[in-house]
Amino acid sequence: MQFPLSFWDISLWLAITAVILLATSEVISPYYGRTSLIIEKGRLRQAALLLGLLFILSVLIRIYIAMP
Amino acid sequence: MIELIVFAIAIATTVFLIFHFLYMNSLIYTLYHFGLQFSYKWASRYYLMLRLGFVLLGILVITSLSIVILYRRVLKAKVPTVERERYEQTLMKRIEQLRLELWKYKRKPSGVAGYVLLLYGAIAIASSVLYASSILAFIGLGLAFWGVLFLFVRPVRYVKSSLLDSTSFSSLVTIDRVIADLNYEGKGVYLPPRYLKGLKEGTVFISSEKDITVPTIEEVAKEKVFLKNPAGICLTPSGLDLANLFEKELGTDFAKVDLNYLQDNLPKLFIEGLEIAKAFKMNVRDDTVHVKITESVFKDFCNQVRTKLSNVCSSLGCPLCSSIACALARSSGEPVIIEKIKPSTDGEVIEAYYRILGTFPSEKQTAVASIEAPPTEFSPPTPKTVASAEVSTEEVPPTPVQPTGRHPSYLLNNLIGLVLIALGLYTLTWVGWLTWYDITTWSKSLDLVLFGSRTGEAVSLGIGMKVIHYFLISLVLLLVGVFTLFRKGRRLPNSR
Repeated sequence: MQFPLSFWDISLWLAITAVILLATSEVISPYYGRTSLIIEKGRLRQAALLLGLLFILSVLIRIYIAMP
Repeated sequence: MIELIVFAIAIATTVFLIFHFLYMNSLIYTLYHFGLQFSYKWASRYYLMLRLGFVLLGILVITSLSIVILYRRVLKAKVPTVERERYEQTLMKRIEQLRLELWKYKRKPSGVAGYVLLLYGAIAIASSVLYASSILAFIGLGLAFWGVLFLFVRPVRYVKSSLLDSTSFSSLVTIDRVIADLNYEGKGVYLPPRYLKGLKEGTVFISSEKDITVPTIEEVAKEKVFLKNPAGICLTPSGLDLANLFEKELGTDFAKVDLNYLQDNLPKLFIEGLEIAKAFKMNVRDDTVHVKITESVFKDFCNQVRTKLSNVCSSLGCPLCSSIACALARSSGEPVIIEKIKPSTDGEVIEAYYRILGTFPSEKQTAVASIEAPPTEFSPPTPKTVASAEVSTEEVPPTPVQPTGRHPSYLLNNLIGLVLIALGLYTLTWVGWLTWYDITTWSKSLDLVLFGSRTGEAVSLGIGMKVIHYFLISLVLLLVGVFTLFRKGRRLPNSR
């Protein structure tokens, strides 16, 4: 039994989720008008940035692995 | 509400049971491939039990629905033979219970959703390992992630703004009555930290005379409410805690920053951090500060203070204006007054004019500044005239402040745009490398590289994906990142 997702799959998932969250955190920003969405917008933005950085880290790891 | 939750659980269980029965029924057909032979001996009993199961499920649903309906009817039914007072007490208790239930229900909706999603995600991930299914793994990852996100971004406790207004209005009524009874006509002078023991404290001095008078440091240090020389009263500003909250949110002490820092960071704090207002502008010119707040959450409260508590409004200001005065006094290190508060006709925009009084001599003398009557429209500040003063030869040096740079939190705003641009550039670079590699190594034409299928190629792009798709994705990421980075300019509309 092993986890069915490879490193590439997880990297792809990170990229997609990061983009979704980044776009969401930008759209719900108060600069577009006050929303009734009661969540910690600052924390959502932190989570989005963290995922983006994790994806970039996975890319760097792949580049490092692919280097001769 | 509880009955609805129970009913929902019953319905969900029923649905799962229906699918379970159908699945069990389909297994029978599978058994035919393993040698099962049809016979009325077992089939009749089997189908009878299956149909009975469906009937029982239906009874379950009807029973649950009936319970919900009956429960609600009982709640609405009046108690005919109870005395009036007992009936009212019962109703009040019921209202309190419902209020508590509503508060509990509203308190952590995201918490419940987070735990549920996390549970389902964990189940899906475990199933993916057991059944070696990548789809289940993706589903489980997604559910677990969103569950954690809902827990992480759980909101702080929110209260209705009317609750806030009602809580603080009574205290201001008392202050208004005290000022009216004492017949103090002076404008409130917000004293800087050097007058006070701690940086987090605040005091506003209201003179008994109409002239603006700043007491000496020694006089204030006695920590008395009523001062004699000059005659007046020292109060705690109504916006003091709000100013302390500003400092906490910005992660700095206003006493250690200058007015430019406030001008740069208060708009972001008001709009994005605390979401107090839709727009915030601050303009510092010499010793005058003009603040314009649009659609503040305090607008109704401010209107109420302005109309009903004129003494408080004219001398101290509402809590929001008072908090800004406290912030200005701390950062400038000088006494500050609220010169004028000018609301718009619809009350949506509040304009406040503050004046920094400058360094006054302390020690044993008090400098008295006389001002003209407050102008009806904002005009360039008139120079102060010192009516009479015995200036001490020893002037108090101004409190040295170390202006700090911008708080690094502003970099966070640009980080989203930079990350999107980085993602776009990386994808574009990779597309460019792939295109160049195919053209030079495999001698492919450009249109074949961009639009051709890559089935069987060494570098696969995923089912149905072509190079042109990744090129477009990279362009979108780049454009969105550039737009995000440069749209706001990270300097909010505070004209200088």
